[in-house]
Amino acid sequence: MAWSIGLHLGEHFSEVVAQFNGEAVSPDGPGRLVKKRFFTPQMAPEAGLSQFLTENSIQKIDRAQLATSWPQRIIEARHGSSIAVLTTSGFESWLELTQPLKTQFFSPHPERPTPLFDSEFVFGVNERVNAQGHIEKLLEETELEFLCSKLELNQIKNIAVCFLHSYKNSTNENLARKYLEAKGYQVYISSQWAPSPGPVPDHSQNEKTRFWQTIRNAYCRPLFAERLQKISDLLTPLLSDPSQLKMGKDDLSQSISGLTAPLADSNSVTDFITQKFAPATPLLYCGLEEFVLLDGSRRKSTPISNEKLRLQPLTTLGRTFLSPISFRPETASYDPGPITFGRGHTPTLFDLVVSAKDFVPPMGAAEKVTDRGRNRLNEHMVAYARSSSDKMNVPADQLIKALLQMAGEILRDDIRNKLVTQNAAKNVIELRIAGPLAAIIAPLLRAPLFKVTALDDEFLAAKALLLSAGGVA
Amino acid sequence: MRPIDNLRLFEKMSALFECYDRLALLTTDNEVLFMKYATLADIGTLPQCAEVSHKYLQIQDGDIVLTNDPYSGGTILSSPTLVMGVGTRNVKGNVPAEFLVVFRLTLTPKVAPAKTIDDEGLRIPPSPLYARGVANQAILDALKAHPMTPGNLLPLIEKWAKRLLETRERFKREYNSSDLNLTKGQIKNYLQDTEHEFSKRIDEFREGTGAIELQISPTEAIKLRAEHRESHWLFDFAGTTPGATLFMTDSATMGAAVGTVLGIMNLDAPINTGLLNRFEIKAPRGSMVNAAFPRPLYLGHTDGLNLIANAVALALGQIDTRLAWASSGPSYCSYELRFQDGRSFFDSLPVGGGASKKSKGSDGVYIWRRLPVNDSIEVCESEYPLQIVSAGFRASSGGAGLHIGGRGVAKTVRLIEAAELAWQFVSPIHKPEGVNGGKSALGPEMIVHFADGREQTLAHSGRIQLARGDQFTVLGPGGGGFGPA
Repeated sequence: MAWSIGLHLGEHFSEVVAQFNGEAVSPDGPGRLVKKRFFTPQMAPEAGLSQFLTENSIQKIDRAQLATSWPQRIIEARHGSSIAVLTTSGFESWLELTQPLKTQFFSPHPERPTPLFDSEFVFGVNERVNAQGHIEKLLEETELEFLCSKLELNQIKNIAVCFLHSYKNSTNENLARKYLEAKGYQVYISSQWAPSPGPVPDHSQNEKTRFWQTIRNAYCRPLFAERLQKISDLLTPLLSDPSQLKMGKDDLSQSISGLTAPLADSNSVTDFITQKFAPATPLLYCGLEEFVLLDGSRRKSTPISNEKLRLQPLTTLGRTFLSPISFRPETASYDPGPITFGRGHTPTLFDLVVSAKDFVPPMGAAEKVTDRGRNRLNEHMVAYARSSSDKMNVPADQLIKALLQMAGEILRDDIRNKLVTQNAAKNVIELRIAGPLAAIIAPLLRAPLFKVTALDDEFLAAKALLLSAGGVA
Repeated sequence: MRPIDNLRLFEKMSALFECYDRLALLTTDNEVLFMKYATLADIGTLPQCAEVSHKYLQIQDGDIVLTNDPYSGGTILSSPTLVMGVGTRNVKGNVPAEFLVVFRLTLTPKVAPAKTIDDEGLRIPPSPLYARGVANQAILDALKAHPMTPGNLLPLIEKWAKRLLETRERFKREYNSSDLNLTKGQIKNYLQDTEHEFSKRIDEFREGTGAIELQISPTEAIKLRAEHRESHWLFDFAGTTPGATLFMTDSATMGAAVGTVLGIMNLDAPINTGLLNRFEIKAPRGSMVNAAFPRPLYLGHTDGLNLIANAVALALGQIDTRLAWASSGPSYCSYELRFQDGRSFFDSLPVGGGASKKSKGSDGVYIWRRLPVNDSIEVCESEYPLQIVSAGFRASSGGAGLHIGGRGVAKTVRLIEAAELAWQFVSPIHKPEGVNGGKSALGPEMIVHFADGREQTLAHSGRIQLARGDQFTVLGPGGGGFGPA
């Protein structure tokens, strides 16, 4: 008998829970549960995991279930690889053109997000499949020959192939893949993620969704695979059956190949939490890196993002039109860190939360929160209050309390808008809440329309993975 | 803590109206409290629509008025508006509305060269759709029977009217539990503080005047004198000619001026009466910026408002160089294909943005519009008998300069079945201007390539019958450049 492991690899915090399944080997007996959270900017995930395995004398593993937000983070931080994009001739700038604008309010200079590719490396090729799936122009190899020297010169190894209507007929995409793979390139074709054609056309699935999925995979896969390989190297020798090392829905080796599923969606922990802890009752997961509203009854997860529901742990505080201090649309990072870590410069919701009376910061973050950092937060609050003439001349703790109260109201309204399909709430909203920051968020949500149950498990994410790896609740 | 109270009120209203894209909340004293807009016209017309509807129909709690009439505060005929009354008193019988919620839908427009507003489609004057929460069947039946009623109008207005009534219940519950603090005192503080903060932001810019004349066509010109004095913006359109091809209402013109100023000041400010108090707009009756019934308004309330935005931007640049922006592409180049089986395909193109002292112009964007766009090539080709031959940025369409203007968009469409093409765009003689030595951009163009090899450049508006195999290319305008190259 050996251990089962659940490992959640976040951008800045990773958490792991392991359970011994044997009978007499462990001094603590069967079902022994060990857990750890580590701050990855100071300790690389593989180093933290290695330390955890050594500390707990874990030498044999039956099964390990991993999940990660790395692909999303690589994309958000624009840390991916240089890629080339092949598309149907005549539509070379179409991808860029269809990116949604970042600027929501009117501006003479609306901006799009920084593209994942250089427009110089978007190539149109003469090929065409029509809307009925018939090939009007078959791709010829000569179309691709000129590409290779240019790609070689620029050391581009990853190519996204995005042809129109390829979900109805992927012949041209497959021809491109065959040719380019033979030349040593890693090729991602858009028809790989094509929806199965149904009797009713699904317009949410179109070339934009498909092309961007392909591009995101091509962009983030090399770095993602490199990071994942280190984890694989550490765990694989301990597994009696390497196929029991799972990342998201796939075997880890398949995830490393990056060709099996949309990387940014298929490796997330949210499906596991939903399945294990929110199959029928919605759950607000208050992680250190994200607040996620999960609702198994709707069979989908809804990240509380800046666009839809507003507040995240690292939502920044700053000036807005109506107030010298309020919640801004932007989020900060744990590196250099929130103000209470003693290094950051911008106050965040996390800082307010850890400053609340009687709240003990969770493992992994507690060691980082310093008195110096808390004092700096108070100084910031006083400065904000003063900058609003005499209208907000209040002590820092009172301002923090008011802001936390407002955060609670915003979260409540967001959750309500998300969960109640019609505006008029007819019933009380039942909500479970868990995660490292749940202890402070739960009281903020209390309101007549909400019935909040705290699950009191700050390692919920890793535990959901552990349960999928054969662990026992 | 007044700022925090104001913020909480704003957040509450944002959450209450989260599912609506184009909406305003007013008191029945015509104080604007909250607004979400998708077009420049919305900013001026949503309040106008509420005011006109209430004036003529004395809206009670639970009443919903329907209109799409631009001369009663609408924008274009494909954007019907619902105005609902909300009363908070717990009394039996008719409860007078204290608040008005104005919500605007977005349907697919019809592109039709027109001489009057009634040529553009069905015009619905303010009509009582619901009375105290109950549907007015006579109105619904009349709409159902009318041959010009768009097929999806009735299901949509019924769906949204129900949703509005649900929002009204939530509004009352939150108002009565003081979660939604809309007491007279809080409203006064909120509007006063918005006005005060906006005044401070205005004062960051230099005072002065700017004067602009935009020649649109041989007989049409927009004249504008803009003035910034004592924390006020004045926009005076005296001297603007009557329209020949372009017509706008005064409320739409007002919205264009306000929205452009906020955009150029880079302000994500709440639009309410406090802020609007700092604007004065003079639009002479009968001129193209304050047209009289029954002038057609589709082109004016789409491309025409972009021209107003360009005029305002150029005038602001004269007042303070920090506010200087070259003109953006004025025309969305709207077109419609009507196939013989009755299907109708509508499309419009984004434009190039003007450049400024700090940056080049944005490529292919809807600068003054945030409506949802269904621009999938695969969906268009699957649903309609057409093939999109190419779509992308229009090369070299931005004006040259130290900072180059944004590129417009070019699209070529080939017909798989015969269809009638109808189109409208602002006169091609108008080119988006560069500023401070920057060059003008390329203006809008449309060219038909017939299957037999002939080619025809189209005028600014019209209809033409096309056969299977014919192609047409729409060339959207770029944005002007900034500074000498």
